[in-house]
Amino acid sequence: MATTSPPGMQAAALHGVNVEFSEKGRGQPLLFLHPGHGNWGDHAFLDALAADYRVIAPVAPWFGKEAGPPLFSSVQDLAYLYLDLIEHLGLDNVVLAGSSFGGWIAAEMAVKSCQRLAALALLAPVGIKTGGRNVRDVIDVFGVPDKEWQERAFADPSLRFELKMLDDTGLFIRVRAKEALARYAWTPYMHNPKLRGRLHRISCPTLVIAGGKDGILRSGYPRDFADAIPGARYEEISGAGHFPHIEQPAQTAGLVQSFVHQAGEGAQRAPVRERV
Amino acid sequence: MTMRVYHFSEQPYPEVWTQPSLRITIPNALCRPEEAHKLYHRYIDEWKLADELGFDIMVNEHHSTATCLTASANLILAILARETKKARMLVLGVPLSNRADPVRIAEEMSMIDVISGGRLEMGFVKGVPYEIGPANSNPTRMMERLWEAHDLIIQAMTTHDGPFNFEGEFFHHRTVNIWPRPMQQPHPPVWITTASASNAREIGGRGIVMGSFMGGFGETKKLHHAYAEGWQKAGRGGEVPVDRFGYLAMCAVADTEAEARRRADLIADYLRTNGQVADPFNKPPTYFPTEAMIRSIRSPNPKAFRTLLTPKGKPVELSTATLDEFIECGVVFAGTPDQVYDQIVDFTDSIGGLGHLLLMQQGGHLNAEETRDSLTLFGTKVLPRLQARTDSKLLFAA
Repeated sequence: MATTSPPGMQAAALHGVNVEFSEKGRGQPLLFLHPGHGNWGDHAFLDALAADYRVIAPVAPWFGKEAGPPLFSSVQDLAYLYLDLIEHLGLDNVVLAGSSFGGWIAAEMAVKSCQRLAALALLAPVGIKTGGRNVRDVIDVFGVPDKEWQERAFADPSLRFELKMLDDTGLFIRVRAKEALARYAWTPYMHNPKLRGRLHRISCPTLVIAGGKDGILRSGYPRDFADAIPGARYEEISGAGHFPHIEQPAQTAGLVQSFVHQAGEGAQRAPVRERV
Repeated sequence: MTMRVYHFSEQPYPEVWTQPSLRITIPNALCRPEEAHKLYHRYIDEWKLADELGFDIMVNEHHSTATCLTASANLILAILARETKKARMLVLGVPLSNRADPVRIAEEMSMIDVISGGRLEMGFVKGVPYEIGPANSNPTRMMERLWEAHDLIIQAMTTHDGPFNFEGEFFHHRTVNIWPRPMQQPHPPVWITTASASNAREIGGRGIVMGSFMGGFGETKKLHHAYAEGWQKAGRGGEVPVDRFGYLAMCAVADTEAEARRRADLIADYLRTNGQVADPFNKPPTYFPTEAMIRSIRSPNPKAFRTLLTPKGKPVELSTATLDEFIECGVVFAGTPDQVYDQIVDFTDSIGGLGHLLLMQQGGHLNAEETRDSLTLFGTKVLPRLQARTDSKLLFAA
């Protein structure tokens, strides 16, 4: 099914599912998966990365203007879709990065196969349960007013705004993103109970970045996440809330770049991993 | 065909209605069990009186709220199945989209139908937006879940040769075989509520009874037309029997107009408290269309609940309306028995006929004495006249 893509966007038809993505830069491919509010605010980060990488940033089905596949209802659907996208585009040696909800998708992809991945960068990811059953690892984003969500999400007050200040397109995307997030992450809330037990399968170098002033995640949750992945490195950006890539785009991109660079050098020294 | 009239109460717990949120977040430390005990027995007695007066009865359920102590409609129905004798017993309804196990619902409703001697009217609802939180049900795809649950319940009630297999998209059972089966054959009448034209067309296509709540003259007629479109498209004929339509309004009667209006004003607090919901549980994602959510975010009055038009075209916001405006819209019937009779006949004739009039005759702070007096006046002076009407319409012509 051919659809017209918005300016700057490309589309791929993957087994009947239409995926839109932006692409900029050249070099090693980097796939960036947006958080639960959609791709709002990620431009500076993607531009910084595009200096070194071929940055591909898809918009998950149901997050855009068009209706998505009716049966898509779980993060698994998105993980398989993006693995298909990597194959479809013939990408190899991919840096896979995701923020929050996008980090969950990235982790689900990596436990399925790291075959085409060079490195994994998870920015304040959700997706596993580490606190007790009466503990909220992730605040109920569907149960707090937007004002509170913004206060918890952004350390910098100037990034907070009233939703009605958005133009019609921006507001539409924002509301649609909340709807899409409910479709994928309502229950079990923001996690897959099976994922934590599968994280040992992640065999590529992994970086977990936390925001030092993240009010969305339980304090200590991103470190728990890093600890559950073999050999993962943990970094904290003190001047960021839940979205380091939005609040500190240059610093966050720099961390990713240097990590991938070091990982690449390490991979050259280490015996070549057999690829099936 | 005689119009049936139902007595409905949400079993409110009004002594704490000054709280900023009456739903979801209101702590149950504010509930005194001794007071709730008295209220339950009082409301059951009012339904018993309604039964004796010739009314049918209606119940519903809500959760985590001081507006409604009926946390399980089926539980109160089970009591009323034994406590009442003649009334049709309508639940409107069981929130199908929020329930994990439709087979359990089929079992409970069959029990109620059998205990009551075949008096159950089996209503299913999507549930109001603020039920999503307490149920933790996914607000996306609610109508699809509702219809799949509906199909499973009907199949469970109408399959009599042992277990069957049901592996749908949402519900999975390998051995469905309910005991008892319902007394009414093939199953108790099914109702579904809606406020949207697209759902009304779907309900009409299935020929199910459609309940609509407080839409007044204009909205109700629109829904009935949409139902008729679905009905006709499914090849059910040109005209719809009016017993396919139920409409819920509020009602108070007294010997004097002034006293009736005072009573109606107390019941109308039910609508005025509708905005007392902790944000954002009143607007879960996908419950309302994306465009409606955007309008609400841009609205200067985000607490607005529902705006109706009077027959003269004046807009009335239900969360802040005056009693006169409620009456003008056809959302409240209030006055002496003669006045209420005239208001109801005017309304039902204007919308093209009505089979089931659902009346909230107890609400908010209306006390037992006032409720019983109002019910008795309606039951003795209005109900017989409505039932004796021979000029009312039997078929709704679209």
